[in-house]
Amino acid sequence: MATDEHTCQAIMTSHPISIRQHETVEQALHLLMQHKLLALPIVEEDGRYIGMFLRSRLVAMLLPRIVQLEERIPEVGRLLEVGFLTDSIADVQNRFREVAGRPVSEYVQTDTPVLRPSTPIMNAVLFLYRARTYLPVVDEASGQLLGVVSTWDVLGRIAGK
Amino acid sequence: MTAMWTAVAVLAATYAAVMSEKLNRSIVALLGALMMIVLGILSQEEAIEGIDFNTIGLLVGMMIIVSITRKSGVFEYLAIWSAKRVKASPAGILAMLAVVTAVMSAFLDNVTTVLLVVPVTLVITEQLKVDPYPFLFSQIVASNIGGTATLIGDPPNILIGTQVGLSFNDFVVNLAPVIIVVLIVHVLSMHVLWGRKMTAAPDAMAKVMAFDERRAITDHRLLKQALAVLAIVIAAFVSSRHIGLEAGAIGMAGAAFLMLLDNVGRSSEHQTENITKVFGEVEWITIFFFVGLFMVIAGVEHTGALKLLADQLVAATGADLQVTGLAVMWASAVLSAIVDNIPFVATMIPLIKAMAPSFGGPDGLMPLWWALSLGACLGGNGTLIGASANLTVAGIAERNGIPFRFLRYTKIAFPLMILHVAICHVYLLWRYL
Repeated sequence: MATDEHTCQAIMTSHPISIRQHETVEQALHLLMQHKLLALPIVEEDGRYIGMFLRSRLVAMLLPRIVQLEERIPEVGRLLEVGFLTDSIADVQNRFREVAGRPVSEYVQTDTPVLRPSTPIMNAVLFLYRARTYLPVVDEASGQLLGVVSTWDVLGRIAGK
Repeated sequence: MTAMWTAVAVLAATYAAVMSEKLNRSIVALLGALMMIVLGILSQEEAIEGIDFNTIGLLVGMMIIVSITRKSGVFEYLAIWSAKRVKASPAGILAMLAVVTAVMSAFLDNVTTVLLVVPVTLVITEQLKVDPYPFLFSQIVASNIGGTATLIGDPPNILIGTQVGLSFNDFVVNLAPVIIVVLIVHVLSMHVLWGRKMTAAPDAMAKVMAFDERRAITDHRLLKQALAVLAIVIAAFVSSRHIGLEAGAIGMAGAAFLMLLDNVGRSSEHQTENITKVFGEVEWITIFFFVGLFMVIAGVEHTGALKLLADQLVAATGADLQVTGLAVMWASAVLSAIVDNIPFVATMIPLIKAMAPSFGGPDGLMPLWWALSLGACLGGNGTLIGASANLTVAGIAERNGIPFRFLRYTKIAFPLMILHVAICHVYLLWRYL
């Protein structure tokens, strides 16, 4: 049986910074920048985990809508590049302003692997490698967000810190 | 007689399963083919002989050519260039992109064409802040219209051309004239319905005019190679009778040659990666659907069921070419709006071939082939489920937050389709019947 040393419980960061579902994209931007985070877990008012708001999503918002959806359309239908757009920084800012007031719940990403406190560390490391973001640790019964596991948590242990 | 009914039952079950959309159509067709063999209607050899490798070769070859060519950015270039030619006015773009879609669709598969044009269209309409729905609607219809003009433009034509032995030029000479008229009518209808009421802010139009189409070209070397190969392939289609090559061989030769140009001088790992990607973009679902379907049809044909049906149809129309031709076109149009036109055309081809004795041999059947093509290709516009391109665009639109529902589409598209087929009706009467 796996002991604490072999599970996420041992390495996770408790009480992570998260964002409530009704809060805005602009608030998410400030939190991500202020704490230099890769992602924010989105939670309900009572702390139940809903999904992730990824930093890469903010970058996607600066592009035409069709680019944001390209993972869901066949390869042939994806724009190769968008160098033909001659947008300036001001145009990009305008594009962001159009979505800045929207709630983060509209941009929730649910394909990030969810860890349990009992998830073996090796699985957490594999998921970190594959998902290239950090991962939420959620209580199976209550759905409450308990913590996150980041690459730093793992590397910190290796470095003996 | 039992074998005949068994084969017809397998065909009917295959049709029903494809229509229900509960199972992927390639699985259905392959299972249908398997039933023909397991039930003893066809031997394994007969089943394999039923597969028309000319069609398969043409489909795969063209898919490979497009998958490599698109990496050059030429299709984005074309769409942006055309939008700028009309000073970025929404009504002008609506008309221009319909024409570009139709022309591209005459040489490429319809689904591929809309997948190439729709993303750029959405970027343009987003900049102009205009409703993208009319543009997407117009491009669906234009893709099915344009595809009708050539042998390689739409799967029903590929089937008719390769199985009947009609050339690229036969299609262009006989179908392109009426298709040009239908396209003009379509562009005008779109203008009356939507285009004339469209407006965009001058600064938004200035934004589109500032698009730099030259930057859409991402690989100049590949662009030159791909355009050269495309030109040679089209020239080969045009002169196929003289050079003695069939469409399948030309398509595959073009694909092999373009892959050669795209990979020569690269490391073997790079080549493997490149080619794996290109093969990955071939629509294997369509290819295996065709493979299975050919075997199912071969089974029905083998038992004589289609000959029997053909005789009865000829008797019902009094062996009158005009009545038969118009009936084939209208029935194909209405049915193709509801069911997948590929299995329908695949079944109709042997059925029409079997009518040859009643109409003075294979040459007498020519008007029927054009009637079948016009009905089956244009009929696909009638409803949202009538052709694959329709569903592809609807899927992208819905994901982009643009409602694209069956009824909203059909209540405009079906009357338009009837109008287009009516134009073809006059054309068939005037030219052949």
